[in-house]
Amino acid sequence: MIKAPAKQPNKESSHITKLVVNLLPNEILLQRRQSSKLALINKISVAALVSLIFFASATLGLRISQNMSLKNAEQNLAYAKEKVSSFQDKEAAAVVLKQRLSQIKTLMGADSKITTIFNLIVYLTPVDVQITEASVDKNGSMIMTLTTSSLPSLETLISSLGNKEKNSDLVSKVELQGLSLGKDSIYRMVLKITPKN
Amino acid sequence: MDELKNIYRQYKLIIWPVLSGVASIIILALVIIPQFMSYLQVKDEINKTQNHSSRLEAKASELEQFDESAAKKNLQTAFTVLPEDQDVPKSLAILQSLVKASALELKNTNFISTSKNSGGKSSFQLNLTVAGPIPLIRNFLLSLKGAPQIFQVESISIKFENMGSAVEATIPISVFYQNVSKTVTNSDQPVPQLSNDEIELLDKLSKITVGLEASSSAVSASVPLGKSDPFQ
Repeated sequence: MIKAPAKQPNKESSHITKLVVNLLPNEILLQRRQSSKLALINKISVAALVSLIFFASATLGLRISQNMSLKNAEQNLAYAKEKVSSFQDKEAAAVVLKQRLSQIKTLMGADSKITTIFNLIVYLTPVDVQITEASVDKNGSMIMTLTTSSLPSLETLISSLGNKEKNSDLVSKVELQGLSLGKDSIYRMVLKITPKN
Repeated sequence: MDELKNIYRQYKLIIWPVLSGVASIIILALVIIPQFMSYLQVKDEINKTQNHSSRLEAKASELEQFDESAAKKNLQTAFTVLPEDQDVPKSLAILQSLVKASALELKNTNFISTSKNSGGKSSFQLNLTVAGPIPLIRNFLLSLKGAPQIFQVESISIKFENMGSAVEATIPISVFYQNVSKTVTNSDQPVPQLSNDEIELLDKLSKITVGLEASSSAVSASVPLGKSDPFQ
């Protein structure tokens, strides 16, 4: 291939014009271009592969160090568990005490209607009224026989039992089951008191 | 061989990039991505383990400061109020002292082993027959609330005796006890703390049971023990 040199207008034409002659065939030039392309592609491929291998190694290294951290953490955990289990007796004492107190609280807090109703009736019963018989069942219902020579006292008792303030809102029903006046001028009354739920 | 050379000549531009591409994908898919995923997983695991560890260490230091002698004393109080077993003589002695303190006369006592389980609690029944004025019976019933054991009145039956001011009352009383179930401690559970209510209850119970211990020691001191050597 013959290449004509570029014209230089301001110079004198006494110099010998340089000619660049490339005698290599086109195929070889094409081949060289392809080879350089191939070399570039190969370099890129190798670089990519090497970087990936590097990242893979770095990842593996990271995992190995992480496994060591995990092992340390597990050892610390085992040590802490051992320490806690050495105090098992103390923990058991705390647990049993808490459970026991909870049971005691439940039992003590259980509403004792029986005692409450009985105490209320005794408190409201006037001094001149005698309770000759009384029974309080499991539900707190009370049946009592009263004797007195004073009818107003019986009236006072019944009105107190029916008064929300005086009976502390504990009584739901008061039933008069019997009332009689004996030859001895003593009134006998049978009352049934039902507490509120 | 020539064929291979021809194939190589034809595809030499893409053979190496394809091979390294495939190798890269394999490394990425089989090494980098799985390792990265397990790195994240293990990181979580390490965090959880460290948190668990610090919780246990806090629990261990709390247990280290736990006053064992105070806990034993409190347990003693709790077991006095709600015993482990059926202790009929002790319960009877307490009721007798309450009857005496209320200035009532104890006429009769019956023991009924009901062992019923009401809500998981065991109890036995003592039937007391007392005599005295009604206000004193009321005082006795009120004193059961402050007793050093848990007593529950089941019913009350009152009859006048001989037209006096005294009555005869039959009072069945349930006495509760509770076996201790096998305590299984769990290291993951925090140390149980007593609430303010429970501390107040414990305080109240310890004052009641101190009185019981004092009176029981006084009773034992007054009981004649006999000769130290019966053959003298």
